[in-house]
Amino acid sequence: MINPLIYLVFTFFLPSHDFHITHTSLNYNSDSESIEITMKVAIEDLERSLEVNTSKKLRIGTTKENKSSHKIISNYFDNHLKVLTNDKPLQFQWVGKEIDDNLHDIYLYFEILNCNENGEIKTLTLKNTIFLEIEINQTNIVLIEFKDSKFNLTFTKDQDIQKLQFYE
Amino acid sequence: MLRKFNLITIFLCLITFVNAQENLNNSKFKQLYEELPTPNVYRTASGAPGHEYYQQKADYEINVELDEENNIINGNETIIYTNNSPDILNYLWIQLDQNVRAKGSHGQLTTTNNMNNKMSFGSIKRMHDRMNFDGGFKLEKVTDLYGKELLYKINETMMRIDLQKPLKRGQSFSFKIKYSYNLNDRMKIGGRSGYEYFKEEENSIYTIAQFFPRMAVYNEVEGWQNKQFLGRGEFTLPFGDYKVSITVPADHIVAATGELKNPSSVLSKKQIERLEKAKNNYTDPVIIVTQEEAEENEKTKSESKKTWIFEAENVRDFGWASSRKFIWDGMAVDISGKNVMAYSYYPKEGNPLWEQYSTRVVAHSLKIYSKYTIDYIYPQATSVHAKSIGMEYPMICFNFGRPEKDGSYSKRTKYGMIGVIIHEVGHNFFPMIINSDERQWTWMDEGLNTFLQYLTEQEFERNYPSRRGPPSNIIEYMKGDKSGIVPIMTNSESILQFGNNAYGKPATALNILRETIMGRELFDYSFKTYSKRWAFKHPTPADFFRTMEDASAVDLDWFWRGWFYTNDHVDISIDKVNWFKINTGNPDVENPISKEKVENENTYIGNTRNKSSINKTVTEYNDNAIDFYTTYDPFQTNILDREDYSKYLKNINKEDEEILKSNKNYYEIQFSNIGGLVMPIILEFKYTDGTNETIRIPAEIWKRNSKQIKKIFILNKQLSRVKLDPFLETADVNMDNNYWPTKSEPTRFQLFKQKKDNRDNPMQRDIKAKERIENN
Ligand SMILES: [Zn+2]
Repeated sequence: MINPLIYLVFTFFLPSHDFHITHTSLNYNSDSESIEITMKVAIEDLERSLEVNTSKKLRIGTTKENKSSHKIISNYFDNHLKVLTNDKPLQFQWVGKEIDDNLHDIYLYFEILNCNENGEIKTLTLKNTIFLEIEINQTNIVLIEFKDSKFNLTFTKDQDIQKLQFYE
Repeated sequence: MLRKFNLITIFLCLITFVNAQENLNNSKFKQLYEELPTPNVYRTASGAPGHEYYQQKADYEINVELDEENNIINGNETIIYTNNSPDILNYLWIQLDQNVRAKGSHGQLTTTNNMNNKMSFGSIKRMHDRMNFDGGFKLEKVTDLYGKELLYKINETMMRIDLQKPLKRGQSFSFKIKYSYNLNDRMKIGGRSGYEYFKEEENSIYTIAQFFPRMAVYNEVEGWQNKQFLGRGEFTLPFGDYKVSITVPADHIVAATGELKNPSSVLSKKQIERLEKAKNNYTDPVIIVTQEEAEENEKTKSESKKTWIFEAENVRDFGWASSRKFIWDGMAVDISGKNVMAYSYYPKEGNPLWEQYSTRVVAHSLKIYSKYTIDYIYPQATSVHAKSIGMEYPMICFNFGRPEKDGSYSKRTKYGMIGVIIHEVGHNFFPMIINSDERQWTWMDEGLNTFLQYLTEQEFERNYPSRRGPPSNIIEYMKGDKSGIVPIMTNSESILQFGNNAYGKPATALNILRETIMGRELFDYSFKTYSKRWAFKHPTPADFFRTMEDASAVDLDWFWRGWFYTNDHVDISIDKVNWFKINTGNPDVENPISKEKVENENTYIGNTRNKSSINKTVTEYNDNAIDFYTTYDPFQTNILDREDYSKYLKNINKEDEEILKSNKNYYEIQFSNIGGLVMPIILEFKYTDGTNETIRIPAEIWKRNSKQIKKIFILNKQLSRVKLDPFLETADVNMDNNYWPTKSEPTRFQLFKQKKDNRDNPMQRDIKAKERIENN
C-alpha cells in the first residue's frame, strides 16, 4: 500500500486521441429476474490495464489472442466492478465480448442471474474502479435501468462508490 | 382506431398547442444576437473578413542544434514582428510553451489528481519522472539586433518584452533570443514532442516542436492571446515566413516543415536521384532512403554534424523530426494541376505497415481535403512515425501505428494508423491554414477536422470503420449524465470528456447538417466558402456560424443554439396516432359503419352476462309490450335520409365534392420532444398494402411549441406502421418511442445473446476453419 499522504502534482499530457471513458449499462430484466451488464471500453485501455495487472498481453481480435483472454478479462472486472443489492455482493457471469465496428472499442457482456437472492432489491450499490489504476483522469459512466427508473452515474477516482435507494 | 369527422371541422386543430405564457423569449428558434459578437469593420455579419481586417506577421530565422548525447536543444532565433493593427503596441508577448514542463509550473499545479492505494508502479514512476524532469526554456540572452539587452518579464509560459519605442501600425521590430532546453523522453513523461529511445541499439527518434519562443497572436478579438498554456488548450500563432537551420549528427535524416534548401550538402547523390524520381511519380511512393540504408545507419554513430536548411512561407509554426533510424519515401500529388509532395519518415519498426500506407494516405488526404476546402498550397506534407501520439504542425505531423515485433498487426492497428494520418494531415487545413484560436476553442480545429476525416476515411475504403462522424456513434455520450457534459462552446481547458465534446459531437453535428438539415450541395458550398474566406486568416466561431447561413439561406441559429450552446440531446417520440376519415354524408355508406362501430365498442360485463343469463325479457315474450321505440334502428336508412343526402350534394361546391369523394385517410400524429434538441421529423410510413414512403419535415415544425406538437397527414392508403428516424440520422438516443404501433428495440445485450455462436474473434475462427480444410 502507498502512503496516501504524499501529494504529488504534475501535468497530465493528453495525446490527440487518448481520452479515457468507459460506458456501462445495467438493465434489470424482470422476466428472468436478472441484471444484464453491457460494458463499452477502449481496447487499448483494456489491454494496457491487464498488462499492468497481470503482465499478460491479450492481443484482442488478432490471431494471437491470448487463449484465456475471457478468464483474464472476467477476473479483472470481478475486482473492478462490484454490484451489491441490499449491501450484499452479487456474482456476475461472463456472457461474451464483441469488438465494436469502429475497431477502437470492445463490448463486454456480463449477467447477474438470480439478482433477487439478497431479497427484494431495496438498495443497489456500485463500486466502479475500472482502469483507475492506470489513468488518473479515468471517467466511468454507468446507466442503470431498473424497472421504470433510469439512473445515470459518473464514477471517477474521487467518487468510485455510489448507492441507489428504491422506494415502493 | 378509426374516427370520422365532419368536413367543416377538418383543419381547425392543425398543428399547435399554445405554450403557457412565459416572461422571456426562451424559444429554441430565438436568433443568436445575444450570443454572437456585434459585427464590425474587421468581421462582417455575413461571416466574412471585414474591410479593415488585419493580422500581425511574425517571421523567424532560427539556428537550432540537437545535442544527441545529452538530449538538449540549443537555439538561436531572430524574430521580425510586424504590427499591422491600427493599435500602438508598447510590449510584445512571446510564448514559452516548454515551460509547461518546468518544475512547479502552473500546468503542473492546476492538474487535479490524487493518490489511491491501487495505483500501479508504472503510474507512480511516471509521476516521479515528471516531477524530477528539469524542463522549460533556459534563456541565455534576449537582445535587439545590435546585441543590446531587452527588458522582459516571464510569467509562466508567457514572456513580455517591453519596447523602448512604441510599435506603430506598419512598423516592424526585430529581436534575438538565445536559449536551450532539455528534451523530454515521451515514453516516460509524455508530451506532444520529445524523443523515443530504443534501448537495444541506443538510438532515438526525435520529434521536435514548440522548440523556439514563439510570438503570441494579437488581434481585435482577444487583444494579446496570452492565456497560459496548461497542457490542453493547444496553440494560437500568427503567420510568417521561416528560415530554419537544423544541425544534427551527420548520419541523421531530418524531416521538417517547408522545403529543403540544401539537399546536395545533406543527401547522397543516389538519394537526390531517388527524390527527383519521387517528384514525378503520382501512383506509388518511391523509396528515397531504404530500410537497408537506415539499418546500416543505426549500427554506428557519426561524430560529425550536418546542417539541414529549410524554408517555409506563410506558415503559423514549424516542426521537425530527426533520426538515424529513418526510412524515407515520397510521391507526387496533383492538386488542381499543381505538384505537391507527400512524404513519410519511419523506422524499420513501422514496417510493413508504413511503407504500404503512410504516404498513400497523406496523398489521399490532401486530395479529399482540397476538394472540400481549398487547394493545398504548401509544397509538401509529411507523416512521421511516432509511437502512441498523433500531433500536427504545418506540413509535418507525428503519427502512431506500430506493428508487432514480428511484423504482424491487428486490424485495429492498421485502421487506427490510417485514421490518425488522415486526421493529422487534415490539421494542415484546420488550424494551420484556416487558423483558428486553439487555446480558446478546441472544436474549431478538432471538430471540423474530425468531420473531414470521416469523409476522407469513407473515400479511402467503403465502410471504413470510422470512429466519429455517424450520428449513432455519439448517442452514448449525449444521453449521459448531464453533470459530465458541457456545451461545445466551452473553453478548451474546461471541457469535460474532451474527445466526445470537441471531436465527436461537432463532427457529428456537421455531418447531420450536411446529410439531414442543409443537404450536401448547400452544405458543401457553404463549408467551402468558410474555408476560402478564412484561409490564411484567423476565424472565430461566429465567423463559421454566420458563413454557413450566409452562403446557404438556411437559418441555422436554432441548430447552433441547440448543438453548440447547450448539452441537450435528441429524443423525439411518437405519442399517438389517430386515424380519421371524412363523413361522406351518404346514409348508405355511413350507417353501416356507425352500426359496426357501436357493436364493436367495449361492453359492460353485466350486459354480456345478461345476454345468456336472462332467457327472455318482457318485450321478447310479449308482443303487446312493443312500440315504435322498441324496434327503431337508428342505423336503418330510409328514403328521406337518401333525399336529404342528394339535397346536400346539390348544395356543396365542386371542390368540396371532390374532397368528399376522395376517400382519403387522415392521420393525426402527436410527437413529443423529450431530449430538448429540436430536430427534423423523419418518418417512414408503411401501408397496409406493403408499400413504403418517407416523409421529411424540417425542424421548424417545432418553432411555436418545442415540447409537443401534432401534425395531420392526408394519405391515400391506410397505415400499418410508422417509424421515426428510420435512417438513424438525428442521433435520437431512445428508439423505443420511435414506433407506432409501439415496439421496443432489443438491447445490444439481447442481440448478442441471441446470436448464440459467440463469434467474438473472427480471425481465430477463420484460422481454425482453414486448418480444418487442410486437415481434411
Ligand atoms: Zn486533432
